[in-house]
Amino acid sequence: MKKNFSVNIGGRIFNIDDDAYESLNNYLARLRNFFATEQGYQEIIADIEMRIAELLDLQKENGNPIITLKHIEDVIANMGEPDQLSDSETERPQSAPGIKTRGKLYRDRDNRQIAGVAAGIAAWFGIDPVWVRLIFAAFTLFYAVGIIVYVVLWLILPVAQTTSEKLEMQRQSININTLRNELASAGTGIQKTGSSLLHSIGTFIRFVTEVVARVFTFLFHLIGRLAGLAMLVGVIFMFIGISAASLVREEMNMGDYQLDTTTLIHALQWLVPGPDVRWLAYIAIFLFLIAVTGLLIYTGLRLLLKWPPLRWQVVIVFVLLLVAGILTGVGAIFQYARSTERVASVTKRQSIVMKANHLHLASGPNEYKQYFMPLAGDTIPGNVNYALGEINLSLRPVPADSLFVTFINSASAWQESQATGYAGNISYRYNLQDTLVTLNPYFMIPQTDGMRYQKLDVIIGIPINTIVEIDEPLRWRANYSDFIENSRDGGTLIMTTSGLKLKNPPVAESDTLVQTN
Amino acid sequence: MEKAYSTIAQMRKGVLEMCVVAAISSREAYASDILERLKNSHLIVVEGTLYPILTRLKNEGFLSYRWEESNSGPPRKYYSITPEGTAFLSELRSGWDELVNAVSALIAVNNQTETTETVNTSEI
Repeated sequence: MKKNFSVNIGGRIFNIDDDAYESLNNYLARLRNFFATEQGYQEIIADIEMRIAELLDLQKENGNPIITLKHIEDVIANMGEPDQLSDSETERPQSAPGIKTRGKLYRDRDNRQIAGVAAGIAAWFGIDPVWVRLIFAAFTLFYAVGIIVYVVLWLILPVAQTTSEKLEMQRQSININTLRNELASAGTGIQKTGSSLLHSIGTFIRFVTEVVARVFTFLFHLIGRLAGLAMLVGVIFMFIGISAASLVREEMNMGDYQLDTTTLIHALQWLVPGPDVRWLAYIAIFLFLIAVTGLLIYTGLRLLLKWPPLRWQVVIVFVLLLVAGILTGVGAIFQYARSTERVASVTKRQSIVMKANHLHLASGPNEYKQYFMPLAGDTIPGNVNYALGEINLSLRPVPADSLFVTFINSASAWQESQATGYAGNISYRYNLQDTLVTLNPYFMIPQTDGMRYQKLDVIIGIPINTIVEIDEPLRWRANYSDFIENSRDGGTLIMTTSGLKLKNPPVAESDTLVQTN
Repeated sequence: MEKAYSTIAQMRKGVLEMCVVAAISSREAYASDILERLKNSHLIVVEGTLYPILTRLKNEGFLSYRWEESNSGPPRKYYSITPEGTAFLSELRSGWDELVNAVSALIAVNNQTETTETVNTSEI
């Protein structure tokens, strides 16, 4: 059963189904909108209606007393939809559907955060308002330029109120399709004009509070978006940094040791010696990085572009990755601790008969790069990258005429034999020549050995009453307790039974000392 | 070829106005008559195209119309050409002839040049 009624089309009476009537009515409305800008468009519509009546009349003659939806559809196919008609338009080529026109700037209150300025600009450019807002925010950092421009635009730009203005704002030409889409999306939202807003104090206060609330929510959103942007940028820079560091060779300061030019990967090999421990560390870092960067990127996108929340399955995957990364990391640390539990040391002694009662302790090479270069006659294999460690220097009094020099190399490893091997790999440059002792403030280890807590204690036994001069870098390597009365700060020293002392103490005291002597 | 179809449609579009005037110039006609002729020569696809052209031509004074009762249906609008319309049409015609001659000559010349060029290349 269908409802039907009679209508007057082009001066003729037809019996028509409810849905057919609806369809025909919509079609005529679409045509009216399409021809709305044409001069004398009512006449065109009347002519078309007349022709439709003629076509429907044929149906009636063919024995169809009631016009159905099918008939109307045939008629529409015969007459053509507005976009088909626009094809043959010669006078309005700019009105093809969806084509961008020059448009006009409006404020877009439908998508506003404060007053719709940014949304209106974004609509004109056809981009997401976020970018416009970010630009405003960025320019606000320069003497509040962003805020000033915003307020000026707020004052001069009109609000897009009608549907055609909204389309113009989006630089869409107005035709039946765009209007239809616009109307469909507009729903029941009917805009009131803002001109009467300020008429009473009550509405004014409401207006102000609304603006303040909007400013705050906007700032809140903006901060969120900026944080999101910062996260994304941070992740990008982190990757650039890691890949650059992995590829670029540079000198690195790793805790107590200095690495010769090396890449990040080699630095990691140095820090985490032993393939098993290293692989555990690699896996831990990898898992951790995936989880952390994944979450950072997602959170950034969610804050910046308002992505939907993650599904719980994805969250679980991230959490598992994180937990696995942490567990592997703990395993690596445990394994690493085990691999350094044995300490071994290698001791080397040398003594020289002193010919004079003075001694000069000179610092080795003065140029930093030269610390890495072996002295002539050293047995250091070439083409190996070295790490430098600082020596521990002890200067002790000996009741003898000879200079005693002791080197204690030590290192840690899982097994003592390994530790001994690493200790033996420590190479050190020094030179003993009568009264001149040249010491390198650093010792060297092949980088391939890795960090095994290598240490080098240099103990120099100096005959009592020897006058000692120590170069600056070495003074700071030496044990503080070997010096008496701040004598480490500089000056000519003399070895006493209790340690090094200033040979010429400060003036006032030295006078009395000389007199008593 | 999609592109060729759309270009041909554009060409038809250009001459549609002239054809409408021409269809009316010989004798009075109402919309259905004109539609039939234009459809037969594939100048229009959907009928809705005709009405804005008729209204425009009428508004410009090239066409006039009168109502005539029809015994089978609603009253019909019979269009006829005005003296201005006749002048307009003859101008359009000469313009059209010129265009056709020029275009035909151009296409023919192009064909010839291509042939000569081919010959030249083969000689070399």
